[in-house]
Amino acid sequence: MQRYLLRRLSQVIPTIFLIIVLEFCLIHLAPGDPARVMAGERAAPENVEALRVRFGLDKPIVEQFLVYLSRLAQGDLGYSYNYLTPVLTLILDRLPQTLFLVFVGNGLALLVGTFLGTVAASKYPSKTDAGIIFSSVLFYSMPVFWLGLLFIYFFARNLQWFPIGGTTDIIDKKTGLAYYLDFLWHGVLPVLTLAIFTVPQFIRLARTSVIETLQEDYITTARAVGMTPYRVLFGHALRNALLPTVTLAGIILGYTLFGAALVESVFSWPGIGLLLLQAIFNRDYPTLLGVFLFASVGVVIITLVTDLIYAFLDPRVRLG
Amino acid sequence: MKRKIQLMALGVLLLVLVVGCATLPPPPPAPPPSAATAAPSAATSAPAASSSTVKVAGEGPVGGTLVIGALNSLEPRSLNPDFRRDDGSLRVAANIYCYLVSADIANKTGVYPALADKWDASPDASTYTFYLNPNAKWHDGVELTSDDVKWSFDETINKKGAAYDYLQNVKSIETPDKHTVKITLNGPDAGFVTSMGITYGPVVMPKHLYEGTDWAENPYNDKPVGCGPFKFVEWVKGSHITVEANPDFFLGRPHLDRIVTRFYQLESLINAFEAGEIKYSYDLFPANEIKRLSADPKYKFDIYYPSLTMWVGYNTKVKPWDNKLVRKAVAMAIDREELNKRVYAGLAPANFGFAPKGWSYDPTAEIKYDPAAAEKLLDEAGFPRGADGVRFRSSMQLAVEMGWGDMSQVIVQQLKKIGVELTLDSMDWAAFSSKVLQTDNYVIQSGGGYAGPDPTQFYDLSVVTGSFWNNLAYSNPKVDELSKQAHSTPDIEQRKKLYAEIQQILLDEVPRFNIVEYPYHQPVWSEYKNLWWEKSLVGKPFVMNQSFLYTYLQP
Repeated sequence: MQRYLLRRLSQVIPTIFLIIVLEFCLIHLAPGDPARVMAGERAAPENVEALRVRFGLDKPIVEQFLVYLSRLAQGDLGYSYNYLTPVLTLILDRLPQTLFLVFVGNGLALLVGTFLGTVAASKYPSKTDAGIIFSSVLFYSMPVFWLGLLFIYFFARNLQWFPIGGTTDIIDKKTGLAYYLDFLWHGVLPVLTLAIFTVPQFIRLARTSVIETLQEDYITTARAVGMTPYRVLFGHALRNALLPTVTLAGIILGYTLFGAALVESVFSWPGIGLLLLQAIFNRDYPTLLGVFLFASVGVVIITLVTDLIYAFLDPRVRLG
Repeated sequence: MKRKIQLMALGVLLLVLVVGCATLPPPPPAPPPSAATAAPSAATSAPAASSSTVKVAGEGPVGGTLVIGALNSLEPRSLNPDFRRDDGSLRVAANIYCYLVSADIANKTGVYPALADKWDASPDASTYTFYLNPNAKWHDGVELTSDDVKWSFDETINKKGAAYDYLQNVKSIETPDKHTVKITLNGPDAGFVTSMGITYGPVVMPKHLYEGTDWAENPYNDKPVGCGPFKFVEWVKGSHITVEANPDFFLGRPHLDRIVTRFYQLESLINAFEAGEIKYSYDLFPANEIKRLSADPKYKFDIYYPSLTMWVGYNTKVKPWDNKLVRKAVAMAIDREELNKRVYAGLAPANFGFAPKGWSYDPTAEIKYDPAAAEKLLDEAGFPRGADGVRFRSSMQLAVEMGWGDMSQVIVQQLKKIGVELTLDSMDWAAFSSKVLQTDNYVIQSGGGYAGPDPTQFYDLSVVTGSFWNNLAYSNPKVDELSKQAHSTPDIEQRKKLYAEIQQILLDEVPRFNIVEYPYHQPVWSEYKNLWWEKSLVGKPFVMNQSFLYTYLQP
């Protein structure tokens, strides 16, 4: 187990390095001059030039990369061109909102999706199963921002049950418990949007693996000894079918760090995703790189944890 | 094995819930009580007269909050508008800082007092003396003096700050006494006072907080101390900016207690406006939304036309656009009425000329819609239709903003009718500004930008050789000379003649041409009165673009 852990860890460092190199190159390939965007409309050319020098954008790209790397090694993610603030501060300010959205949204999707998938599998083939699958395909194919806008249109604009944007009431500020309740109330629509976006994947996965498991001999035995269908389904079939769901949960957590950007944008949720979108429009390289780095390190860590859980569960993985 | 799976599933669930809840950000500290917001309930219903201790700037009720929506792509980058600026920061700064004077950009009637009560010009229009309001104070209580003005303008000039464009003709600034500023220019400039009062002009910065610091990294860039009608309260990046009434403002306190600016993406912004989460929008709505919403008396959409036109510019070095007949033919083939109807829902009147409409506009220098004549011109220029009906192919570079995305599609169809095939190369603003504005790597460019209200803002910056918006490779010494003359002549009739002469030259050479006047509007709920563009405020001091000194809430 220890050797496996070491081996996996030693793969992490080159992976992250490769990610940094790729991201740096990709970002600098996009057309657009950050100094010009920074200086604003109608800025004097001297002013643009001064900004270019100030941020080292006049240096050759290889040198820029080396400077970036050496700062990164000291834990310095750089200085945002756009906000003139350290990138790390920007990211840490917004990280809690994004983590809340991603963990609660996906947690909800995991619970509901696995439950619905199991129910669908137990009724397979029937109209209930077809209904669940149909609606899951429907929701899966909806663009997430559009779904968010529909929610805003019906629940926030027409019914006025929920606010349209933000994380808390900024006009009438709350403190203590009222603040947390206010936060949760603001979070309902964004969390639901993200959950509905990921729930179909959990449904389909749970359904497929439960249907497969239900063909196994031990299920037939369980039924034969007179266990209730409920116990067979949730106690025996689902329990064995959960393994792939764990993997999927890891993958989804990773990529919704980015997928949440659109949800955050629609609901004016000040998280990492919104920061990322604005950094793109403003060619704010340090912020872009910082967000990418955070997200990719997040994905690498989640993958590592998933692998380790797997190895812990299944000896074939760590011995192989 | 089963137990392990069970445990693990439980673990994952717990992890999700615990992490989810643990990431809830902590509540912010309670805001300190402030003078303006201490008794909002009493203030909301009380008429201006009852708060007799504090002078109010205008007529109407006092109290209430205005929540403004803005696009999150236009969140300010810095609230030090002399150093760096964008449309997003200037409009927030307009309520916090002071400009020397205020130019009426909505109704284009002239220039009125702001920080300066009055001013006078030397007969040759090269020396200007501004007399500051003696009651002006910074929000931290420090007295505002002519030293602040001199320091801000000098710093902007020395550091080539964002407002440098409007100060580059300044030779020296003197401060004969605490409240007098004398600005000497390198040469006559009839548009100088106006340019001190437009949004893009320089603001006065607090010398006592900035002197001796690096103004790019001064902490007050994020928590500005100004002298305007509203005081800064907080800026939560990515979320909102709050300002509150300044009870000591030298013209009397504003009517509103608070202004909060929140950030949304466009669709959410419109929904938030309809739901009343915001009651005003800095950013414009698409024309079809205006049509729909203006039917409801709850909302008000006053459309006004500042000096902003949508225009097309040619790269006059590139074939076939180096031929002026071709340039003219294309200008003739564009049906501006169709563009107005299809893209701007009939709200953007056609402009067949070259400059924005205003007192210097020459109605005889216009290129009317005439596709038949355009075809004749192209034949004459040596571009007959080929076997496939096409005369030539070219491309257009555009930034998909302010309606250009839709407009370019219609233009392609219109030009196809006269046998010109255009491919479109659309990009975002960052790519456009570096590719087109900076490196001139384009064939035809989409244009749109504020150029006014004084005509110098258009001619000096758009058609004079090498000027900022003239990346058209257009150079005509005669135009340069006329523009310089008009610029230095105080007499308005004389200037009108000179500008008319330039427009006749442009009519012949067509380096660029206008399409429509851009319909500006500020979506607002009707319960808010006395907004800055309204005719009733013309002539009052401190009516800046986006300033809310006189605005009140009618309960």
